[in-house]
Amino acid sequence: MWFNFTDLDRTFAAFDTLSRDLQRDVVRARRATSTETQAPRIAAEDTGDAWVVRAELPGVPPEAVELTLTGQVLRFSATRRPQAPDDTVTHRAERPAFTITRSITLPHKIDVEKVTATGKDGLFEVTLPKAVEAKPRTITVQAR
Amino acid sequence: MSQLQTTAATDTAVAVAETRARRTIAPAVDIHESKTEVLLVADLPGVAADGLTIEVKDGEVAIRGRPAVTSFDEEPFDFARAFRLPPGVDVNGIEAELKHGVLQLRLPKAPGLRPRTIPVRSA
Repeated sequence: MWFNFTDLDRTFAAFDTLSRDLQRDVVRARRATSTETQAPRIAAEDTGDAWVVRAELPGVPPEAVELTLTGQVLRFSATRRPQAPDDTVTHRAERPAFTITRSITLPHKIDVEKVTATGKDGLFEVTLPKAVEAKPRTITVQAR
Repeated sequence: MSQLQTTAATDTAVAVAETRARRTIAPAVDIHESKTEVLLVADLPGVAADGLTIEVKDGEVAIRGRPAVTSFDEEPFDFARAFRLPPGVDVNGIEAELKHGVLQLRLPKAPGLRPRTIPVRSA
């Protein structure tokens, strides 16, 4: 009895496409190097003493970013809509309009009084220092 | 890095990495054309006026922007993109404005290129 190998091949090929698609979505989170639509990028980094959240929001003035901190949840939102000037013909429109709203739950308690946020040239940075008890402490092991 | 590597080898590796050209990324761009000018708008987040060079040469405009801060744990990069200038652009009238990481580049059309209605004489 001969198996119909083409059917099996097709099944495996379908799995390959699925895993490639999944991988591609992960890869898209990194900067697009072509001119395909680039969604604004946001990342959070633990520096040990603080959490730093950075966002690339070109064209957004600092006062237009809404930022709230509730407990350990940082929520920010920003919107921008590129508009063609009146009486023009648009030959190319690659810059995306975006409205982003992100809620980031930080895994550590934050010292709310010391949170700072800066914005310059479309780059935003929020520094959230950890509450004292949340900072990593080295514990010396005593030799006995 | 293995501690068995000598300091000399590490110095060489660092020197090579620095002389390698920065990778470039093409910024997203909008191009609009009116009767009097071509407007080019580019997203260059993190780029300030001192990190931006715009060069017009041989009928091409080349934009290069270096972000002041490289975030997201990535390799440093430059934004770079070049465009062919449409014929009839008044090169001396080109203006650039950079605000909140967005570049507005105005390329005025030379008077000869602007739309003209041509009166028709009846013979």
